[in-house]
Amino acid sequence: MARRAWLAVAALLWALPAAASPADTFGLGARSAAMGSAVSADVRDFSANYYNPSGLALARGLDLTAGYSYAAHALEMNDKDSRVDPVRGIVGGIVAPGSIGFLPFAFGIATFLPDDRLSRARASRQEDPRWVLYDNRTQLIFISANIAIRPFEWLSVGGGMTYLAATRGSFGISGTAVLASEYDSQLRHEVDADLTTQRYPEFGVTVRPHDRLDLAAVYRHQAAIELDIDAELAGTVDASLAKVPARYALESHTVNAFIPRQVVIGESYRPVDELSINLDLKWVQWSAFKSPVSRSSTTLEVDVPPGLIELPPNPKPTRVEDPGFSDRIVPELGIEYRLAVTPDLTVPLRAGYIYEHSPVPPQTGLTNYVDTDRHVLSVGSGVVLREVGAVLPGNVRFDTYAQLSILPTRITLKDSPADYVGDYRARGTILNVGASVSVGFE
Amino acid sequence: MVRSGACGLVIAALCVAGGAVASPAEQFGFGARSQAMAGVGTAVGRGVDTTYANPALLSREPRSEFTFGWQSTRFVLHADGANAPGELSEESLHGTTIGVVVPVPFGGFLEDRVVLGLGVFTPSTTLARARLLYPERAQFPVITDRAHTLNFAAGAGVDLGYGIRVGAGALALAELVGTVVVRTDTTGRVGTAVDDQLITTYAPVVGASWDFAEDTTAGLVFRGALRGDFDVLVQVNDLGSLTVPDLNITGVAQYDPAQIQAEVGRRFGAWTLALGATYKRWGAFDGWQSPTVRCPASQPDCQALVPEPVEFHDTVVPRVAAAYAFELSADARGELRFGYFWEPTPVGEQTGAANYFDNDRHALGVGYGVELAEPLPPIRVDLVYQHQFLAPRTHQKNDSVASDNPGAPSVDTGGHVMSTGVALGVKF
Repeated sequence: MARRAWLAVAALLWALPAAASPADTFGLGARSAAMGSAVSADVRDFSANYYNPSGLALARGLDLTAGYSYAAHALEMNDKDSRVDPVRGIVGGIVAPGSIGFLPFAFGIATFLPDDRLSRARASRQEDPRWVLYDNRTQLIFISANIAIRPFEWLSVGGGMTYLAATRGSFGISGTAVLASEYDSQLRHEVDADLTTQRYPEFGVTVRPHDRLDLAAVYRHQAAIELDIDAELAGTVDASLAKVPARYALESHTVNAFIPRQVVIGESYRPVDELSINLDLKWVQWSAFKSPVSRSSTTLEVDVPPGLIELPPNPKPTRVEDPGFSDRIVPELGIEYRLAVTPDLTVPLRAGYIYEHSPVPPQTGLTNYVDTDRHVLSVGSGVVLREVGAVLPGNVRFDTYAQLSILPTRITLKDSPADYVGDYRARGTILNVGASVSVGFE
Repeated sequence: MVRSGACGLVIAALCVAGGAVASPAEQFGFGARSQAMAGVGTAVGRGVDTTYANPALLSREPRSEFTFGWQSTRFVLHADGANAPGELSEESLHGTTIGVVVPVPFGGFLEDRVVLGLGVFTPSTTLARARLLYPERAQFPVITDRAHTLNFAAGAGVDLGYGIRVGAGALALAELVGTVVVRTDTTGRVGTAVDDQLITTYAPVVGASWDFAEDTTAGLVFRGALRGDFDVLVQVNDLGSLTVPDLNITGVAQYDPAQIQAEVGRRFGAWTLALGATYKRWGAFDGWQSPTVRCPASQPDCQALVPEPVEFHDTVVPRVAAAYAFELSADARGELRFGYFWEPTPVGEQTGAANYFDNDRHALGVGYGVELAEPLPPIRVDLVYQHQFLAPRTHQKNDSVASDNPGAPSVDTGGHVMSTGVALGVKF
């Protein structure tokens, strides 16, 4: 029986769709975000697809969730708003538990679907300041699908595959460009572009050594969205007096929205039935961070008769500086108290705290990757209704949360007094709120 | 004299079409059983296949099921003539299918009536392909590139009672939109500023079925058109005294026509027979290419090139299929499946400079499935092979076509498309 389930796990690892990283920054789901994302050992709703896929196998029945979240940035450089776009969208998912023979088995899918776009790849010039962890990485769809089994009462394991889309393409333009009347140019084009897949796996395990204690370990692989563009304009320039062969070529390679490798260990302790105290420690391999600066080169070749056309000099290709980020360990603390108002009505009260040390080194040189440490405070509550009618043999849950990120001031002093950007002071806050409704069948 | 120069190249509004397309399913059917039965399933579909074939039939599924499958397709296409390339080199398609069907355990009047389904086919290397070649190149754009696309279908089916079922869902994928700006940085080196976005396009799928007699079901499904555009505006600046107009790298990367599929299925003892037809509104498609240079309002009669129009017309695809079920043992059932469809080409004869080849296709499918029941593990295995024959076709070029055109003076086209797959389903 277990062998069949592992076959299914292997199948999933080969092919299931999913994608990326707003969950890294803001959490996923109202309950988990309210508890400071410290839920790796205490998750059995749709957010298990991100926090710990093995939690899917702990669900009691089919569980459906839909909600909305909104994160507003107030990030500043030298007291000027950096205009980092908000992150907002629909969040939700499904947990479908069952069994294969006597083996508990579950399938889950979770999504964060941004209002404005599925994902964004953005690369600017090397010296342009950017809030490197917030201005683009969070502008991504999250779709994660996983399966899990529970071979023993005290052990569940799960895994899935997250998969991102990268762009690789080239286009060519050919024909004759007429200098005297540019819109009479006889030009045409062709395109060969692919939206390619990049897969990365995630695994999780939950162990229950004691009725009041759960332990968890989770691994998430790294990934990045890449964008490769090649362009060529090849043809003839019609300069009235002469027709001149010309060729212009552009090559551009960009790595964007880097998602670092992560390992999480966590515990959930329940000293009494109504109370859960959770702690997660997350190792994040930021040292593997790839610069979002584009590697670009251009070439213009024109066989010009002397004095006919003036052309500018050729720029050198981009030389990208090593970002030099460092790994970090993130402590996450969460607590939940379930207040039973009546036998059919429970009000959960939640709070959480996260501390993230900035992985970005002092920006004293050419680059300006702006970042500071982050303290995240979160609270949340909701209601759980049971026995709501014959149509719903289970419960209905309403959950809400608010999360405040405080980014204390960080001052950057440049080595060169003639630096393009100069010294600056960065700080800010991020407010993230959300709500969801869930239906759980038992 | 050869000079190297540089400049700022502004590529504004880059829209690489991801094309939200169901093309692999539209060409071969979705799921191993449906493919073996030549794309039928609107009345006789089962399992995750019905997320595409007819989401109303999801409501027949009594248990949750997880499905994993593999499909491999090979294209052998040729264009023969004085200048024609002969056999065309086309990349094979390999991909995986993942699906899940989940009954919603409502109580009361909704008990055993609502089922959710999700089906995804993912090519192993691409999510979508935008390939817009120069029109005169010998190519089969309807058959080959459209297949290299993610197929995503999600839906729900509801049993209304009295043998009537309804369902709805969506087909979806992504389109890439954005900008790329190339310029020099403060150190005099070239740098690229990129800002692109993936956005979704959707098409509805709405279906119904009616068990209007014992062992007889009729099904009807509508699928909306899916279109993925490619729209790149290139602005070339700072080339000294060289001036180039705005360059529009535009076109349609993926297109699936709106379609209606109707089908009747009936069981005769161990046999299931299905007969159906699909109407495809290809006439609404205006071709892949767009002008590279667009005349400005101040110069509406400029001499910029305009691509030749491509003639498309609506098609009707008849389908017939049969399945024979038998007992392998007390706990195991087998099913043999056969199917045939004829797909007339929507593309007119290529008498001009363009060489967008397409042929009528005869498709034969065959498949075998085994399903185990308790006390054996609740597993289902399906095998499928589908062979599409491209009926020979001749394109006679008119006198205005250049003599070195790959299709001049005439070209004969044909070939085969061979697809095979396997699927494993586990009930849980």
